[in-house]
Amino acid sequence: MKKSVSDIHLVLVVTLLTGLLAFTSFEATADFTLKLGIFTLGIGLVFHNRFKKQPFFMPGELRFMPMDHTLVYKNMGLDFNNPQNNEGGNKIIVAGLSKSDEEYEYDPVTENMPNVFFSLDANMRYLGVNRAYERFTGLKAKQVIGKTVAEIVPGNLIGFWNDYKTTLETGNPTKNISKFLVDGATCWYMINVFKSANGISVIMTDITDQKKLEEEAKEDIDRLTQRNKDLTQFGYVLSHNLRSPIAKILGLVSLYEKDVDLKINNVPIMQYIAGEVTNLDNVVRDVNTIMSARDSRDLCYDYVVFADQVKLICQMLEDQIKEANAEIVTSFKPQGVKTVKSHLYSIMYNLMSNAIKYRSHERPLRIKVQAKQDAKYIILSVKDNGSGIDLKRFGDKIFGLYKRFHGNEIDGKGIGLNLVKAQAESLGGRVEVRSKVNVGTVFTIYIPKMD
Amino acid sequence: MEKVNSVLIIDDEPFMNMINEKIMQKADFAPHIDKFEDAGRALDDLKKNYNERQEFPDCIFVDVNMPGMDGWAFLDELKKFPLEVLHKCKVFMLSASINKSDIEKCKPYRFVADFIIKPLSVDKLKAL
Repeated sequence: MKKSVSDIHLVLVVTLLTGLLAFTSFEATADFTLKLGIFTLGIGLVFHNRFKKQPFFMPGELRFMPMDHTLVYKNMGLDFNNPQNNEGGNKIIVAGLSKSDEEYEYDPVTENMPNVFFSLDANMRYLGVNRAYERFTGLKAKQVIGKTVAEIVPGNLIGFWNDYKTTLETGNPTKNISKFLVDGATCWYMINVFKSANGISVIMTDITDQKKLEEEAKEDIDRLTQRNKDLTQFGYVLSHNLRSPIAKILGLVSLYEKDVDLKINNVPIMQYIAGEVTNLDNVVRDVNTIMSARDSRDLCYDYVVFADQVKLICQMLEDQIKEANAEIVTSFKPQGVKTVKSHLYSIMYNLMSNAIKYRSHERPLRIKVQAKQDAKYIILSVKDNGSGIDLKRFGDKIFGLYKRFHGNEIDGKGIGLNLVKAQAESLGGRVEVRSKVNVGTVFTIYIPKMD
Repeated sequence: MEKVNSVLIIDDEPFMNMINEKIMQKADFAPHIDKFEDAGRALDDLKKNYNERQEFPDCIFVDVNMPGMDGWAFLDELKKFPLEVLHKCKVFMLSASINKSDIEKCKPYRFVADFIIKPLSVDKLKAL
């Protein structure tokens, strides 16, 4: 099918006018073989060349764009100040239709292979493209052939140019991996450039799936590395906390042996030793609690109503709440969550009891327990107006096992927040904290939504 | 070690302090033993005695792992005393920890004489 130059201009003018009037008038021009991409490009170029206007937003879309090199192709508008895009001007349209299809016949293998293939001459003009190329760009071969890469591919092409030029000049193949936005989805392509008789050939292989696997594997590795670090830390902490009572027992035993000249008799020493053995036992029990909190196997999921849990916790903490004269405010949207009941209870209990423990004595305590949701998570937060924590100083250490940041005046083992973190993670979620000294603290738990 | 007159022991657990005191008494380590459960208070006391009477203990035994001001933070505060005072005082870190990294952490503090793994014992005191 051949069309004259004046036909093309007519199309453009019609499109321009209808486009300006309605922004979507492609039905009106559906008879013509020109595709959407070329339309919008054409309108832009004609508009620019005829009226010498500043770059403007084009009401249209291109099917793909290279992301790694796009500096100018943002907001779907082409930068017509870019000389690369200006080159050729409105000749683009004409050139693509000036030759018949038959001239670009390819061998069937290249034509039908799944990889995007195109060849360029020494001036970076398209000599031929295969079917996969047409699918990838949404452009027909005849719209492309004869034009330069800069005319067809939007955006900043420096990355590609370098590869093309290197292969053209040296004859050595080049390879790079680039990111594209195809129909709104991010895709990864490996781009191999070879020297061919008239210029270069380019093969693009879709490696998106591979890339996704790689990214997933990297996430897994990061998570496991972190878990491993936590476990090492856990080991050290455990060793220290087992060693503490042992050291005391050893000390006591040494006193027991030669007690004669000291005014301490053996009976209290025995009592102390018994007390320390109990401590030792407690550490081992703590370890068991934490290990089972971290273990996400065989967890039983139920629908848990937040308000019920808060009620239970308030009963448990009745004395402390009274003593602190605490006001507890709740707001739950949604009302509940499908989760591991014991984990959720423990998380809420620890956060609320911490809020009471570390309250400010300058103002009455107010605790706000809230549940919200977004697309992926149920977001549970416990906010207080207490003494706050200097996060710059302590950072993530606040979640460390047996870490304590207050003196002995406040009772605590340094296990609660570690447990909260372990349980949130075992639910597939996470915990975050924000705090300001003397203002208050918010702990936020992200619980992934279940089907 | 030369004859010691006054000792300061800091450990957040009163009970550990008591054991240490008894062991020191048994080893006949020093006639004056002061105990503190809070490193910050111990520091205030050190400052007060030094400012008022130029007194400073001959030995300080400080626990590493304590809530609030821990052993390391205590050392950082101790550094602010005049050098000649620190020269005359031997500081011992006390810890139940058997981690090498904790022991290594002492090195930058030149006035720290030793890192003692708990429990303190008569033999260990005599060997100082």
